[in-house]
Amino acid sequence: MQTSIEVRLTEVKPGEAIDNVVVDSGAKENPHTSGIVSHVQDYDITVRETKPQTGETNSINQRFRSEKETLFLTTNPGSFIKPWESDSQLVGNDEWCLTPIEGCPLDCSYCYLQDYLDSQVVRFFVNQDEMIRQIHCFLDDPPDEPPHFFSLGELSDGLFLEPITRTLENIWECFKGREEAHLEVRTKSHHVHTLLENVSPAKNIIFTWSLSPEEEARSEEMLTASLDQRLAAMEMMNNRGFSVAVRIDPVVVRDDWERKYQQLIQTLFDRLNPEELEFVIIGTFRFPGGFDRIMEQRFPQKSFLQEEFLKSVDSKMRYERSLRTNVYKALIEQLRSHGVEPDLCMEPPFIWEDCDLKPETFTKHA
Amino acid sequence: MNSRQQSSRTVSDFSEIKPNKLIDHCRLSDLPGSHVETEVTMPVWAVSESDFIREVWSPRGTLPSDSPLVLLQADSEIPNEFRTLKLWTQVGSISDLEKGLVLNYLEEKLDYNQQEIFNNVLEILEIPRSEVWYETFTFMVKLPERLRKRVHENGISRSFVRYLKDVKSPLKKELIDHITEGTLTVSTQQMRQISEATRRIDDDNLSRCIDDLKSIVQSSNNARKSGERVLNYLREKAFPRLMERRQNFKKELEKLDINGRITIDPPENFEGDYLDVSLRCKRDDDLESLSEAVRTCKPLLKYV
Repeated sequence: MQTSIEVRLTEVKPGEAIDNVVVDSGAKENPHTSGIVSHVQDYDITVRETKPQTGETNSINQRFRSEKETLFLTTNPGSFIKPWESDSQLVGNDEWCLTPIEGCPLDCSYCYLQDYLDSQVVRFFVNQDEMIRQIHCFLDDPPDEPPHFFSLGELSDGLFLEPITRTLENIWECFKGREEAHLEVRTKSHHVHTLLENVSPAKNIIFTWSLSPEEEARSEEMLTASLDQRLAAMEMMNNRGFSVAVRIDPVVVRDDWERKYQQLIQTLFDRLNPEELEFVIIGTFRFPGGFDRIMEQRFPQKSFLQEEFLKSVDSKMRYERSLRTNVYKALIEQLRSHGVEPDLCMEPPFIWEDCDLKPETFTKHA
Repeated sequence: MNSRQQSSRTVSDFSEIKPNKLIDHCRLSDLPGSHVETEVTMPVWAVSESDFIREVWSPRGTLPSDSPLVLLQADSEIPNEFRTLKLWTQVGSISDLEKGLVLNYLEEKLDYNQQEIFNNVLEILEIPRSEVWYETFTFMVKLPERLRKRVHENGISRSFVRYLKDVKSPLKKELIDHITEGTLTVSTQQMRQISEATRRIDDDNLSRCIDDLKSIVQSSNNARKSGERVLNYLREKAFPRLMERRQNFKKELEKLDINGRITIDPPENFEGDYLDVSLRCKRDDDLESLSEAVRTCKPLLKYV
């Protein structure tokens, strides 16, 4: 069993998504730049000196692809820690987003970053020492009462570029032993091998895998790891004592969704003991108003926007109330049969109540 | 000679010219007099395809920058070196539609990308350099000619037409037919809602919707009422669960004996766990009877 996991993890190929690395003039002298450039050589990626150009191709998909293929090494003159406040009408907790990277090389058709970021170029900030300094300053003199919830993976996949950037290794030391702070690393990748070699488990650092049924992952989550690869990485991290968790988010409602998600949950618990998971969160597909235009432009053949989406309390478009309640109930029943009590992701209290869940039981995540 | 005079003389010359062997399928012609008059050293070619759009093309680099015409037209089979990007700037009057035609032509026929057009053309046409403006000028060109004509003749507003942009949809084509024929009238706001609903209707239901739409329009002589009925019909098709919930709520509300003194509204899209209740009273003793009536509204709470 162990051998087969090891074999799958050798399939780590960040070079499949990143085609070239461009070094900003201000980043050339930074010691982290030379480290990244040396790691890049392992993955057959070209290093260039030209600044990435944007918006010069005709088709939106050409532009997205060419931008997402570029890893731009630059510096961040501002803050690496950004507050993320949960909408007051939704059940959730406030977080601090760690942003060593802005822009994601992966290309999920439903990803909000397509609209949220002005450019899709993947910008990695090489002034990592400054980031570390800011994290230490935050934890030594926090702006609010503990516990502090940090997330890594809001503006990019939290793990995909780790073999090249090794940023988590730097962050690790800041959080290790700081029990008042929790870090959640969100990913759809299986690039865990460098971490496994270089860091030891920390209870307050949790790796959360976003899981989708295999068919959905193949058709909607371009360049991400397959379900099997994600589960293998999870299994391996769990076996080595790292904290792991699961987000089944976004749940996409279309043909045969119930069977596909039942199968996903069954596959998950065939591989992992439910008790080993820190938490399980489920959330249905949602998007900010206007975002569907970009999706239609980029993926006109996709059918899942034709469902009944309506404006919800936070102005995001969500499946009609009775539909998403039915979806949640089906998934909750399935998860409960494995002894797991899930939380809902970014839903108002009345949806929790519709699903016979109590909002006050919401687990503080991260 | 001022630019406006140049314009009219050049255009009139187009009718005198003879078919050219190389591109006669385009009805393009030689301009033996025009090129001397405008100091063009090579022949200028031109074609006009409709009564409100002037379309002109010429060999690359042969048009003087202060010439009066602005639009270009060339078949994709015409060799690249004969195409021109030299826009004639002193145009007298050029409509927004004509500007859109230029931009669309450059992009689709001459394979210029948006950035090149942004850098070289927008300023000449006095269009602000932004994607929004760019799209504002180009989407009209992609409309069916009849609809373009309605816009050109100020029959309907540009913001209205924006919602008919996706004319690939056969349902929208049907709507456009009725709108241009005047058998269906809707406001811009209704058009936005119709457009939103149309996007949600899947291919399997399209042909049935088109048939139903036809019969709705045929069954009434009042174009505005037909518009309302079409909107309601499409919303039911696109948002069946929401419409059912609304109807059930309405039925339950009608059963209550509240005589118009109490207004009860569910939250938008039933996304919430409350009802908005407002009361109307004149005298003290109204309040007592109203509080009794409010209690009867309890069954409505199951909808939120």
